[in-house]
Amino acid sequence: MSAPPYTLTRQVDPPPVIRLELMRPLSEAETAALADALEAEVAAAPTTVLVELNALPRYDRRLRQTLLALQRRITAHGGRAVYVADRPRLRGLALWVVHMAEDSQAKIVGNVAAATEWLRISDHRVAAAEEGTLSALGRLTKRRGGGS
Amino acid sequence: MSRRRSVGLRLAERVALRLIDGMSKAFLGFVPPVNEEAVRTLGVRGYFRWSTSTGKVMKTLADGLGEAESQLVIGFAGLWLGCGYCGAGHIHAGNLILFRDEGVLTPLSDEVIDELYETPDERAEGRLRELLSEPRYARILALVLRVYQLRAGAEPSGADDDYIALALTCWDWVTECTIVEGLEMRPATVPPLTPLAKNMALRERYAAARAAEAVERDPGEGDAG
Repeated sequence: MSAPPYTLTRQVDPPPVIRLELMRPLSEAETAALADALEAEVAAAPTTVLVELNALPRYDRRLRQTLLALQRRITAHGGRAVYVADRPRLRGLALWVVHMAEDSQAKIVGNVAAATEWLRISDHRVAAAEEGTLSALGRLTKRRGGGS
Repeated sequence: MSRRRSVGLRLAERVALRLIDGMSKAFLGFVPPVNEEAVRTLGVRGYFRWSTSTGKVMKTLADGLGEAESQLVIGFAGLWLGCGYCGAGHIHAGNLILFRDEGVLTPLSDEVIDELYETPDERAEGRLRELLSEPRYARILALVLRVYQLRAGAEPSGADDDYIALALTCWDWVTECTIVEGLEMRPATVPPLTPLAKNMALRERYAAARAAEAVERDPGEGDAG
């Protein structure tokens, strides 16, 4: 019997989140079961979902599309998602998912501590990056005595 | 994000995209495959705000850290975020500058970029220390390690960190659009993301030196055709 491809748990300690940990790519039946289980969790009220990808040894096209579909459900129900991935390729996967789902509130971080920290604030990913760039650029330009 | 992906570019955006592609070609010598996605995501005004700011950031980083060092910091910032296109393209740019100025081939080859793309953060620092152990790479190693450390939550301290933090937040913005190309990339197919890419003679000398290095490392390599 193969190990389960994911776990889905409700964390009640603050901040309250649904934690989805993926361990391997999913079959079609497993994808459908996960979609139903997540829908049941996020449909009732806007919910934060923490998606852990660290245990994934690899991913395939189906998993990419599965994550995109799940992200769209979370967005549609007014929830928000934070993805935890400890290596670049998986962070790229998560960034691709939230970009394609057009969810500007979702976030990608490198560890659970950073995810927990992010959950305490309200953040608009793209706007925050733009504002952060312009303000850091302004500070450095001023320090260097530059003009434009 | 300006509007639904299912809606195509408007006529004015298509016209603007042709202009943008032409400007890219003149500046870099090629058209990056991310321009259309950037216009779709940010809109035309947003695109110009994005590209103008990015240009200023790159100049600020080059002035503050050095030309090659800034490219490598940007490359690792992009790579950490998961954009292989930004990662490979800017690491290539740093490599090319060091080859031009010092005649060296850094250990950051295409194979190594590919490997680092898969390397968990907890092992990346050790691997980078191995790769960049020669004294000539001490400053580059220190800068690149800070990319990982700042991303892991370290507090910025010192002037270099301010520049690295700028690269990180700016590439948060940049990779929002480049990720459409950056997920399934092979480093060897990504050109150096610098105006130096127009210097084909330099790029050919660099490619020949890399090929010779590969044959030296593995004499069987040259037989593969």
